[in-house]
Amino acid sequence: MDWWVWLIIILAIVVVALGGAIAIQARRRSGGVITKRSG
Amino acid sequence: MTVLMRAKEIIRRPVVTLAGDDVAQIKDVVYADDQGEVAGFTLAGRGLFAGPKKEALAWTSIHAVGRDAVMIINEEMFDQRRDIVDKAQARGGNVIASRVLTDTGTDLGKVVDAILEIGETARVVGYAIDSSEALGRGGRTVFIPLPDTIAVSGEALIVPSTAADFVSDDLSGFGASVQAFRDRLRGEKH
Amino acid sequence: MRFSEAKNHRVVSTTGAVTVGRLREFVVDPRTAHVVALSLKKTEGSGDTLTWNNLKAFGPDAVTVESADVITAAEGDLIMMSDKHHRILGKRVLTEHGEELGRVKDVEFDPENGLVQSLLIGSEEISGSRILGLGSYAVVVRL
Repeated sequence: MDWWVWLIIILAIVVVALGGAIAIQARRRSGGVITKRSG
Repeated sequence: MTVLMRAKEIIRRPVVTLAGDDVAQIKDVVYADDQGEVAGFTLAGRGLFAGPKKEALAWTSIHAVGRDAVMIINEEMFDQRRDIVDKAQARGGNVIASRVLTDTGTDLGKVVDAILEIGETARVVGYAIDSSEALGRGGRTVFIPLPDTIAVSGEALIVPSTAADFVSDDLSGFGASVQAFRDRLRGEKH
Repeated sequence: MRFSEAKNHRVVSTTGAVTVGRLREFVVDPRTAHVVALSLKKTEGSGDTLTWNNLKAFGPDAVTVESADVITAAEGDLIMMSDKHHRILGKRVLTEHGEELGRVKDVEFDPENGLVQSLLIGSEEISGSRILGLGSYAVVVRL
């Protein structure tokens, strides 16, 4: 019973990590409108 | 011939060389706050795991800005990001989500977009605002021309109290609004 | 002739009178707007590329070659032009001013010399002389 439980746990961690990386990179690619000499 | 475009339409648009390769996508629009002149764009990579790029594009390095892509002659046209904007400005200078405040202390709403006029040169000619009750437009998105002389930062956009008179509900009325607004400001100075 | 009309053309050797391969893809050089080679499948040896000047004729029903010896591996510029990212069929068409016109549905070409006469995108025909570049994202055309 044990070995495939570990496999599922590892796969779940990989999926979450990948999802997190994808979200983080999407956030880092997002842009705005930047004013120079602000304030 | 110039066209009006929302900054949010240009952000994420692919940067394509004349050889047909999408080498980057637009990240930020960088502009000077006094006259609204666009200095250039910062870039991000394409693809699920891509991040921001250290390359950027000065306005003069661009071949054309089109509805579906920003065209450059080739990758040699890239500039360095530090030549377009420095880290401090990039971190703190995003006007999207800044509060719009009159110099007499009235909150007019929140900046949700910038309006660009694109031709031989490019400049920010105004902002799109999610309006507060003070504008009397029922909280809809309205457009306000870029004031010549008031301050702006990543925190707030300060406008003269008269700007509320020149707000328009759609971009089609915007061309006349910008000129009328500037004329009025110039008149008030005398 | 159109690319769609030659989709599965057999490549036949005139000396051996046998099929030595089948047409898989057209390889287009955007600098000259010509078909410069054919990518083949089902070849005998390890070669899969037939350059245009090595074929005898491109007919309505088959492509003829002197012998299978002219089928080789792609070399130099041909390597990049033959890869799957540089196939012209189905590619997005973008003007040099950044406007998308559609996707390449078919290509009209001259079987005598390989000249790409026009790109057919459904709503319009774009002359091959307007081609500026063919890359992984799009084929870029002059206005």
